[in-house]
Amino acid sequence: MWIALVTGIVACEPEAPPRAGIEVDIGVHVVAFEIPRDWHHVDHGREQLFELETAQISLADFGPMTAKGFAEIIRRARELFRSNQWEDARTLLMTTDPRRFFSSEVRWKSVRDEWKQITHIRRDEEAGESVGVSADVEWQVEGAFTQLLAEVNALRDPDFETVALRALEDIGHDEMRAIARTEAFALSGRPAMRIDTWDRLSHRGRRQHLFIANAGHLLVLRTEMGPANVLEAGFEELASSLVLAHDQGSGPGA
Amino acid sequence: MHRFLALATMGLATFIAGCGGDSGSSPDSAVRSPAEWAALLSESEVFVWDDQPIEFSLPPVDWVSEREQSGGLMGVRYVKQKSVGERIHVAEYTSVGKKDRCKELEDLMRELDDLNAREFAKRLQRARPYAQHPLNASETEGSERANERLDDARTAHRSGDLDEVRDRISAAIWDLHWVDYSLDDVVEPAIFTGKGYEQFGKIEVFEPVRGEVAGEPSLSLDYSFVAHDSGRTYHGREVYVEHNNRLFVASFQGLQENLPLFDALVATIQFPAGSCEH
Repeated sequence: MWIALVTGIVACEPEAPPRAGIEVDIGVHVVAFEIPRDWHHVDHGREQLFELETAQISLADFGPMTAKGFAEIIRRARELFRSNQWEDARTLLMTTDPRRFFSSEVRWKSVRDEWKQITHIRRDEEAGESVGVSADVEWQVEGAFTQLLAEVNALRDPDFETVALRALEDIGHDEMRAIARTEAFALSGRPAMRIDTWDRLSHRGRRQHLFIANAGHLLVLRTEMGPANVLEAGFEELASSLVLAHDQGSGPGA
Repeated sequence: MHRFLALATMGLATFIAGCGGDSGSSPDSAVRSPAEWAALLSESEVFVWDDQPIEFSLPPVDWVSEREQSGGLMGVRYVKQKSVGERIHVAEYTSVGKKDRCKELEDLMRELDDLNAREFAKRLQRARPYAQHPLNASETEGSERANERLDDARTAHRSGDLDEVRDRISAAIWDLHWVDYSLDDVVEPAIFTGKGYEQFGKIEVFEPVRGEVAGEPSLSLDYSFVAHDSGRTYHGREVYVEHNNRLFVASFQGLQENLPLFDALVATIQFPAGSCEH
């Protein structure tokens, strides 16, 4: 009788549903993760969103982080341009902030004109869909691609911490916030860095960021908005479940 | 003095807002030893509001932190939840720290290669020490010498000799390292007088007392305030301490029974090394 009663109590314990594991393509990254319990997952391709009421966490491809990765984007844009898809070429380049690859404003300004020459091509409103660019413009843009590639190939890659800190600034880290914690480690064999920030004056409003170097691109998991305790719990669950597919990396810092 | 008035007004608002709460008292509060009060504090954290770090143990979790950015102060305020508007704040007077141009000059040196002539001239002008109202003789002398070095740096930049520019800026930073304020040089405009409180109650401000915080001379001042509307008596304590040419204040407004908690917090204050030491 006693044994039966104990068994009955154990059986009444509500069993937690298994968490959902999922694998997605995020730009160049192939990433597997478990969706935290009760969180809603939205797949936007290059950006994955996780929502729980007002709380939101994102996992996104921040584009190329090395000169090699940036040069690859430029080469792909040149191919598009040469096949008369110059609007797609411009769109591809505009997904990347070129300034992050240059160590100083002076170096960036040395190629800014070439960059503008490529990205500022506009369609004549009266022209048809399939219209090409004139020969003299084509010649100028080809020259700009060549010059830009030469400059980018000569760039030295910043270390991963610098890349992560620049990305942090890109997403709104300013002088009103301070870094609360930094931790470098490896995730699926890739360089990774956890950076937590908080309000510089009160140390409230803690935000978590995880930067991962993969295939020359930067993958970023970060808390965006919502109650701090909910965000932190969701972030920790996501971060601990993240796995990158092993056929994507290529060497240290890849 | 304007910054003090703003601060005083804010403090009054806290009193008034808190008048409907419960007393927040605990029956054993009067019998705790200083060590027991210290044990109530949370782990310490390092804050860098300008460029001089300050470290202290935080109040218990029911004292919720907020930004303190008013009345010329920059820092953190902790408000006790479900209390009568009790609060502790620890903050820095920005007007004192801003006189130090060391960080601006170090940033200028670091970014020198990226600046054209116009940008350099603008940054140099912003980084110059100004001593129209010097706090003591060391500031007058240090600023004069540093400005002469910076004149030389400007001339060197015109001739394109960036190594010479760096040398001259380094020399200016060295000169500014000799500027040294005492607590008495900087504390007078910040001292609490109780002005503005009379219309809301009866305030009595006591004589300042000299002491020591984190190995530095400090000035501590107590006051009591009896609110007209509730008849409740509040106690206040302001502790001023100068470190590395920065003026910090730790302040308590609330019930007598929680004053030892504030004293325990002040006892944990330390000043880790900053980027510009004097």
